[in-house]
Amino acid sequence: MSVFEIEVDGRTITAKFGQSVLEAALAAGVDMPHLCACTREGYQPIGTCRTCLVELDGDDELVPACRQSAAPGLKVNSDSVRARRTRRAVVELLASEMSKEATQRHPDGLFHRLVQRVEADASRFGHRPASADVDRKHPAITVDSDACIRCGKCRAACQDVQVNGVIALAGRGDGIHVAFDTGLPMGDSSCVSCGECAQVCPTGALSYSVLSTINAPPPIEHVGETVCPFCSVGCRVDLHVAEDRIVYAEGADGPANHGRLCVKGRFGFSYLRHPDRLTTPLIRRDDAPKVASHNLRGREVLDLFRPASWDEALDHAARGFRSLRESRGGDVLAVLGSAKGTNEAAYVLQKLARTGFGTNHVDHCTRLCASVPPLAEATGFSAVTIPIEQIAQANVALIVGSNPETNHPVAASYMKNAIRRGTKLILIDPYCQSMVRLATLHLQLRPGTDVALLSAMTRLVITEGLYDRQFVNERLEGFDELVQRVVPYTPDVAERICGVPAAMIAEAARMFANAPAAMTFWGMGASQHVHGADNIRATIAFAMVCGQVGRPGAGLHPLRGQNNVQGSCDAGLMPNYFPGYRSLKDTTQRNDFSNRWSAELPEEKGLTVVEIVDAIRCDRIKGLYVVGGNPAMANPDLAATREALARLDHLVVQDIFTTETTAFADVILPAAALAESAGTVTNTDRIIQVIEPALPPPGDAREDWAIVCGMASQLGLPWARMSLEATFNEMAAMVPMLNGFNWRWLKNERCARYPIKAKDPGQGIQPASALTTSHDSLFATDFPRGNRAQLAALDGNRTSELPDGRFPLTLVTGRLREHWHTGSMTRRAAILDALSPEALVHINPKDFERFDLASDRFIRVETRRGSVSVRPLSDRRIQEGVIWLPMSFFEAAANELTISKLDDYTRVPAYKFCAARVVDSR
Amino acid sequence: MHRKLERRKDFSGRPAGGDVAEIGLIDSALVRLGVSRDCLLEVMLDIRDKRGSVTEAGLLHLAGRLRLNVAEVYEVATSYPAVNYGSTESYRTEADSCGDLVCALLRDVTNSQSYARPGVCRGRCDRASRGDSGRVFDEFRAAGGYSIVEQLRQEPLLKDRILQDIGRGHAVGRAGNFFPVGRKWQSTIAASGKPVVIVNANEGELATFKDRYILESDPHGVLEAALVAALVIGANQIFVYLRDDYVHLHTVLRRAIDDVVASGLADGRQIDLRRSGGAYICGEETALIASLEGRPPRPRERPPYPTEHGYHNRPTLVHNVETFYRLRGIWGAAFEPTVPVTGLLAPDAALFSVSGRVRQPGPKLVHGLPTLAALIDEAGGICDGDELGGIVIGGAAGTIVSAELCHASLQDLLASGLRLGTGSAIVFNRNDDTGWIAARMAGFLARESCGQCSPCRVGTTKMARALSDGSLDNAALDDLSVAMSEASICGLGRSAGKFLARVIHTAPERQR
Repeated sequence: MSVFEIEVDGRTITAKFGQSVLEAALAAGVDMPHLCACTREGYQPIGTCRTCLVELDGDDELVPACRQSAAPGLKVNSDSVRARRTRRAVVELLASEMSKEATQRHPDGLFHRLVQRVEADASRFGHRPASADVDRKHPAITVDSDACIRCGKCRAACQDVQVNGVIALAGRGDGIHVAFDTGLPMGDSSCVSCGECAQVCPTGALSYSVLSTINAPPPIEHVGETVCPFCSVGCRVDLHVAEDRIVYAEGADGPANHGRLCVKGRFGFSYLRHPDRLTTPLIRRDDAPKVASHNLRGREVLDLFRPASWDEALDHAARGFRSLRESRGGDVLAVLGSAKGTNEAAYVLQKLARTGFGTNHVDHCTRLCASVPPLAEATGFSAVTIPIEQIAQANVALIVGSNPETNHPVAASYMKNAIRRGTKLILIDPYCQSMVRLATLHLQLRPGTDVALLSAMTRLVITEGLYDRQFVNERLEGFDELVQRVVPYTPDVAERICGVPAAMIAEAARMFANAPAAMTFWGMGASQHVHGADNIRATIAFAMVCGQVGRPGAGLHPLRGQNNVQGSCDAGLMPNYFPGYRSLKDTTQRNDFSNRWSAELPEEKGLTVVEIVDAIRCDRIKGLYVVGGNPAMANPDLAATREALARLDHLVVQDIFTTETTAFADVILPAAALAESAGTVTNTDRIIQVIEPALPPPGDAREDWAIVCGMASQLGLPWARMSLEATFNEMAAMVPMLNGFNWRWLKNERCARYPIKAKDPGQGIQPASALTTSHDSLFATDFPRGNRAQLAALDGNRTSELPDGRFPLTLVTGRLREHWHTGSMTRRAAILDALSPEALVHINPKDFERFDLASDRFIRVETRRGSVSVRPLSDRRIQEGVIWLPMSFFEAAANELTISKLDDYTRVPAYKFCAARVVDSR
Repeated sequence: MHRKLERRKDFSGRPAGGDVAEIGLIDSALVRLGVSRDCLLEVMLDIRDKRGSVTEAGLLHLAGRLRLNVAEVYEVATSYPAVNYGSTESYRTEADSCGDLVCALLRDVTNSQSYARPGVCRGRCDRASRGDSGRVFDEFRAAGGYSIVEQLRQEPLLKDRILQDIGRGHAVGRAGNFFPVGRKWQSTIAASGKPVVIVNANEGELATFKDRYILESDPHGVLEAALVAALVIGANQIFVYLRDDYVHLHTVLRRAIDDVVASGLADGRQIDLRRSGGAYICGEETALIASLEGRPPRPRERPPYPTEHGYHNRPTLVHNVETFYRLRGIWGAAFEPTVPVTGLLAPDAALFSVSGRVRQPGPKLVHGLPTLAALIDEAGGICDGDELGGIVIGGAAGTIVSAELCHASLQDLLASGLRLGTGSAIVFNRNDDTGWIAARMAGFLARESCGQCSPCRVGTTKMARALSDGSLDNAALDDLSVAMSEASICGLGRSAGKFLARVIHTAPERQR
């Protein structure tokens, strides 16, 4: 990048093309006064506060440094008499915008510091009269409009950066003001509570409620940095800690978020000090039998247990597994991990399963996402080919069955930034989600008909000759079979199956195929079906025949749910692979692990999440170690799951809370949360980030990897005393995509994207600062499986359970923006629970009327497996005949209803499709 | 702990309190104008015309149809007074009396009930009787009008000569800054992208009505010049952006545009008549462009200039009505005795809007004006019993010229820095309080500030208050003036600052 010199206030500094004078000055350490400018990524200069005015050599007028491009030889004076006088007067005028009372309410903040810095008299031009009460209606953000100086930063945050479009600068002249939607109170508006506005507000007009309550918060003692646990984007978060609790969180400048956060990442950390946190090991009381009908949580569970020391608890836990292994063999033992922990925890857990338990029945909740295996099948690589941020280089983005504004809000913000810059969005989703407003085309298909739709699109690009012939010839196998397979799917046939107009199907196909670069995303809406793998295969096939892989802005990106989905899989927390997706069967591979771990290793692939529960029911599995998972809430068909868990001879649950699953445990081990742990996590963009504890775990709770090592020690395993560093380095050696990494280097860099190219054989690593986009789109020339990607066979014809006379509706489950998975963390985060306190079943207005429902009257939603009681919400975004229920509420657990039918390949349950009915409880 | 939200968002799609008729009107306006953000203001004005105001339900519907965030549409709806958003009173544009400076000077306006928007100058300070119909297409054509357009279409090389003539004739803009027209044209030609031509007919300066007079008298003269500009710079899109309050002119211009389109003279070029949003700032060219793009009328920093990055980033040529009209002289149009406004084509002509305490207020076309006092003679002399107190020259941020200086040589005044601006001249008498006049002028500026940048938003408000109640000392007024003139984004705030500096300078008795 070309660099040149400019002169600022007599100092010569270097600047880059594209930088403003202000950016260059700040980057060079010249603390130039400014207010409405924000130098974070995504913020454009607003230029309305006029406090960064500077004199330029050779220019008569003062110019705002935030908008003035730096150019070679420029001479800038920010400290001339003229600039200082003007700036002070402007700041005095701005200060008069606040009422006297509001000025006193906010004695600190960016603006206040600016007033002091320019030696302005804040009262010189008087103050506005107090006119509005402080609005505390929103649970997370307090609006003190009398403190507002109308700088427009919050508007930029909401409209330009997060692109939520809630905040307006409405009115004109002296009456210009910050408004929400059509002038509603913030708490009544469509605000999604990302908190970006409060993070940038310079006066306190918008602030975190926790900071403006009557009981002033304690002074912040330290700021700890961690990675957000609430999705796979991997945002870095600054946790502001005082008196052993998180006071508030702000976005840190991480590689994936650049300071942005969503509602969960900003307001979701109070669970860390929730009174329900487990602080001591617990052993089940002898007089507390396991009852299958027990649907307990929280403190109810504690009555079944007695506190124990770590030694006793670990001994008890390990003894149960040892005796089962000795009496019946390792095959009766299983391990369920979690994608919420660190790579090191995942790695030692699978190692424990394989070397200590002698079983390959080790799996974790990534199974329930299941969006990557078809990608690995096609390319031989189990990670995204291209990071999210590359959507900025894509002309078209195709999103299949994903609702990123709800589930990956920060990723969605980058998508929306790109769309506003001209990227066209094609959305395939039965639900009229909020991103539809930005979509060029929304293909609102009937649930479960993705294969027909994508096949028709594939057929069209083939018949019209729009596909990438060269790519097909040189880089794909299975094209002829694909051509045969899609023959029946004319756009008209697809229209009949999917309910999407044929012309729109054709338009979407052409738009994607003709794009110079198109990026493909998919999510749980595609994968969580009995033919989920086929949905994804059809998506991949369409993208591949169009040649939209392997270039900047062209690639495949499955959007996953949990923060360490990528890392947990890489680390081998799977029944069918060793770490690094290495074969269980292949003797060389097995010997490699066997030698490294000094253990005989089981050869047959193990059972998956739902299969393990089924195996318990038929007494094939007798002992289970659950680390950070909650099958009694997350698995489909909960009644059957609870029955299985109650049957176990030995269940050890390691968690931060008493979950529904702990009610069936023999031993409960209290774990540290991610923010209390050290190690590494890997985000969806293949970026490995180092984390350190932002605060200590409560009570006697310990980090996951340490507990697992304690268990290993009880079982007498030789690796039980390996350090975190040694564990990481072993993993980096055994996992091919991590080759070249080592702990010390990574700890220094904080983060790095794999694969890395080893230039320098010793350290051999490109610096993390070189996480540039150009070479992050993988597979420009070949695939890990070879020269050609495989277009897998598929039919997409399996059904889980079709609606019928008795159960006429299709039930789809999903997530809300404020809650995560089973809700064990987010429901215990006070603000999130206040924002979204109740499960509502969403129903199309026509069905709502047809069933004569009322929004204030509870109804029962029933399937062949169970029923829950909820209030209905009339929602035109839902198709007729479909109902939608969030999964995170224990009061109305959606998985009481779901079906445990699995996809043949990915073994994911069909969370997104079963037959249901609603019964008015009137 | 935290109170749980009782609110449940409504996704049922039922318009909340929405009026079926309003929704229907919006839908049909979208059919007519096209479903695009560009038409946002025009659709809202359409609804206002038919229903008096735009409601929240209408706004939500419009946002949904245009797939915009509600907040974006709300921002637009509330930043244009003419949209009359959420008002229960209908919006009236038909009123000669307005209660702004000139009306307030001449009569009791304390009972402002009869004004739709009390205090907003309507540009009818002359209370001209309407009904003088201007020159229609056939008459204009018969007098040789549009023949330059025909020639240009036949001989494309002619455009080089026109460009040269414009440069040689030193044609300048008539919006107050006298910017060379030729440089603007050259700049749009040099910029990349398909150029756009905009006729800025949002005349909104205090007590100014010369553009109204030109359009009333000879609308085709303006369209001819706009077409020539389009042909010369290669634009295929022309907007005529007309002040919303000039209701009678909408019919005139609609017909004029229809006639010229029907004649085929505009073939290959689209001419759109669009209304402003009822704010003075809509006439600022970047705010004007924002308004055509369906955004709030808030000026933006220059550079880049509209001639390079204007309407949808295309090179955009904006002139006001008078500037376009006077260009006709460049290609040979001359004075025609039956059409008085053609007197403007003489290079030394000046068109003033004379109002206040004169017998015959109105547009006054003068040549070689010796003194400002001579304008009073043009306007039939000062009213009976009045003695000249002075003249406010140049509109709201103009100069209050004392009676003595009104008799001084205009040449000398101009040489010593007097700016005529858009040529508004408000005559007042000895008994009129110049302090009160200055406060009214400041009030106009405060009311018309877009509110975007802090020096202008806060500064004009503080200035208006201080000039009426003396609440600031001179040092504070000085700093206020500096902040506005040095730090404002656009000309409104900058000229407000200079105005304040003049007021402080010429009113030493204010010092306490």
